[in-house]
Amino acid sequence: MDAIAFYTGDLVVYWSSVVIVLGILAGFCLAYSLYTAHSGRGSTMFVAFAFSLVFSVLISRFLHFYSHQEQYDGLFRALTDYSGGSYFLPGVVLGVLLGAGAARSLGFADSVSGILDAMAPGMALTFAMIRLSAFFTTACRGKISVTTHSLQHLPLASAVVTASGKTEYRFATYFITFLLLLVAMFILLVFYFRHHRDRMKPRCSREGHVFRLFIVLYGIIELVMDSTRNDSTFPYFSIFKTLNRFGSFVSLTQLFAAISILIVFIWYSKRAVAADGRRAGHWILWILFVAALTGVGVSEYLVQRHGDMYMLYYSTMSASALILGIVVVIMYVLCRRPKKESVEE
Amino acid sequence: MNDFEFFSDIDDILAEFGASPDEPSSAYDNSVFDDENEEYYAEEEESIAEEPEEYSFPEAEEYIPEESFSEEEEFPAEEELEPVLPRRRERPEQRPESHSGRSGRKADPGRGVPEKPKKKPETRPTRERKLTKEELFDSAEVVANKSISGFKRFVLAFTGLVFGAAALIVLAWMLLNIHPDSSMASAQLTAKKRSDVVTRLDAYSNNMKGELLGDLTYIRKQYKIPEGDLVAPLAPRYNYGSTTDPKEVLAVIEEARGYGLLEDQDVIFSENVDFYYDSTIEYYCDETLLAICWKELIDNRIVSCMEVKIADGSQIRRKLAEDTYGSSQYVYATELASQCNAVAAINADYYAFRDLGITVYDRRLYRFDEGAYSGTYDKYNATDTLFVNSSGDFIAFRMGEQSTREDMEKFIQDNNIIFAVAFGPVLVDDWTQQWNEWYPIGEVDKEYSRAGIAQYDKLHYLYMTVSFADNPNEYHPRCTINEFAALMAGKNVRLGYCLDGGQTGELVFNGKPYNHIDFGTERTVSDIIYFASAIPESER
Repeated sequence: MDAIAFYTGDLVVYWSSVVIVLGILAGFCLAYSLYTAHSGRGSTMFVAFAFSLVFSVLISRFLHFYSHQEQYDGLFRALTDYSGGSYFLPGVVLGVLLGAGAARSLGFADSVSGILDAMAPGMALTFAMIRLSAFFTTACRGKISVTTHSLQHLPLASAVVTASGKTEYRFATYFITFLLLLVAMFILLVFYFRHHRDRMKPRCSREGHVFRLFIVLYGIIELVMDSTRNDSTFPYFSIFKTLNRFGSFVSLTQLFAAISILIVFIWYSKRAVAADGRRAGHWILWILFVAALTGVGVSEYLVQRHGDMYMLYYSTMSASALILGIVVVIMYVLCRRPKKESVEE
Repeated sequence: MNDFEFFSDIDDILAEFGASPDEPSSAYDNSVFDDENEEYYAEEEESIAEEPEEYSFPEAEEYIPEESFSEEEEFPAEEELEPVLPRRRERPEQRPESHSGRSGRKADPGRGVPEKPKKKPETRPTRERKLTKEELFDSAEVVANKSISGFKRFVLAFTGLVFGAAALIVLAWMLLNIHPDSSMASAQLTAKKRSDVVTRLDAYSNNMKGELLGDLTYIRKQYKIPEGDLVAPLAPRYNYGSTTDPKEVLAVIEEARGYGLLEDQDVIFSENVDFYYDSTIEYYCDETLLAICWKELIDNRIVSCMEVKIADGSQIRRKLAEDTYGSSQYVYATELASQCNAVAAINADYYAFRDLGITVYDRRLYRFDEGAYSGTYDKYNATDTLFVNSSGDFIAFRMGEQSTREDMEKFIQDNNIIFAVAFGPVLVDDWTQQWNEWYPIGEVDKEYSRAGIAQYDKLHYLYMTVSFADNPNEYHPRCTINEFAALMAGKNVRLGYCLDGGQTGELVFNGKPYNHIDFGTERTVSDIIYFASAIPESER
């Protein structure tokens, strides 16, 4: 049962809700300050924020309904009755994209990328707080059971009480994800202040890179951490039913993360090739990317098949995910104008 | 300002890394940007060699240097430049001109300094020329600072405030409504629970009778696990046993007969089967439950069997992850069995993974999808479904049978159906092996590890799995669905039903897997079927 923060009459407010709302507010304040400090209009951020909230709730709810239809009494109830059920967190990214697009469509900004860049560190902070809020729900649902007594505490393990009243200690996957997202937020802030308007090579915009870096960082975190959960959302393919055989190994979150990272990598690859032509270095990076992505997928398959060797397979998965991120960053740097030229100008 | 050393180093490295051997490290060191074509135009290499030693500033109409020239006048301040249309590339005045640049003119030392190549005024950005995307990005800050009318500014600010207020309202709504994973949407069970007051009263009066007449005659006590209990009574450790001698098991069977547990029924276990050499026989026996596990070789296949005889229908139960239908959790079968104090358990239908068939839990019909599946089948009858009622009897709903949701709910109510699993197919029906040419799930014609459950007699069941050996050096084949059906029919069961196999197929006894699991480790599942002792812990 959720921990209740306060209640009055029929009105009940849970601690998880409080933490989530505080996280959203903190993320918005960060985004607002970044955007307005770089000549952006405050009204733009208000508009984008309002639309993002609405779209995020609806999209994340819909995606969770699609994968867990038996938890709901139909789509309409899923979108109107919020007394139970859950949400698909990566859907918030889509909601923010739509919110920024709506602000631009209404004429509040000339560039969606500028809005997204300012919102990226705030999104990382908000996601971190949402993961932290899991401590106020039923359990931190780690798949791995921690039996070593000295490790049975945070940040590594949290206590879980089973239906029979026994206490187990499981890997604190949500808390670790919270810490990693905080680190991602700091990286994004530093990147925003130092590099977010760096001059780029032709056909490569100067904005949007902070947001793309956020996609990459969030993607590699979820690629690994979602595998450590025992309540992952798995995709169901109603059209290509053959894919359902593989759907039980790769979760929807991991699919979303992998596809997002791939899109960002392709985006930078195209611009690097357009600027410099196809070079040997590009091929090396492409091969590395495919190898790292394969490493993540194979590690995920092996950790499900051989759960007792999770230390080895999660290590390889983490290393592969890290290589993925580094390769994408290198490709970004290849799209940037060399520093000598910038200094001369 | 110091940039990240990391990035600056990377830039240098990558400048070499991405370039061909004979090309300069950066293609932009000696290039000029062509605004019209938006590309860099590399200067010819000869221009560097032919650069004259002496040169003078060319005369330009728009600029005449004076002796008293100040640095400020030589380099006009930025305010004099066109703010809206910044130049793509500003050439410092002292930069030596290229004599063979775009115009292709070569220097002729004998003729002196050639004329400066004429600029292309028609290609220079002008106020009227449409901004390119690059220039837009460059001028984003300037655009933001463009002066806008006061009215428009007011409208923007007001609209922003309105949206800000709307966002606050949404946040307040979220504070009251968004609490993920606190409970499942369908957790509030609305299933009608049949009042068991009468049966509990019957059991109570029977037990009292037995105690009062204990010296005169033996009246077996009746125990029942309440339907709403999520956890069964814990079975004591001293009732478990392990042996390699089948005769010891026969003695346990006789003990169960003494309790009146077996009534007049035969047992499936036999001392004359071909036991698998590398196995032990596990057993459990108390007044309400007899369970025997053994491994035997049939056609060189390792068949793990678990025979269970219970005293009451409430002792065959289903356990879901989080005890909630539709939960997104996946847990190991041994953990689920441990959570509910199961004596013997087997993986169920992994219901969370598919949307076919009919599922019932706690007397409530959850899945009955009348949408089309393929051919003549709808989703609800695309698979065989196994119903289990409160008396512990199995009832099969065959693939292709027609029904409606209302009829099915009535069927559940009339027959006291407690739960239903949807995997299949039915392997044995009325003691007759069933032949399956095609089935939508389970890879029926391929050789896989298999798992199944069967009802042998009243409150008498058989779990069966076929899998590899623990010793990887031994090869023992697994089986197709029809071969598995033959194995189960060979045990003379009344109704046999296939459950999810592969790595999911698992037989749990005394908290541990008994059969060999594919890949050596368990796989998380969404539910199990288990048997538990009904004797309350207070009466042990």
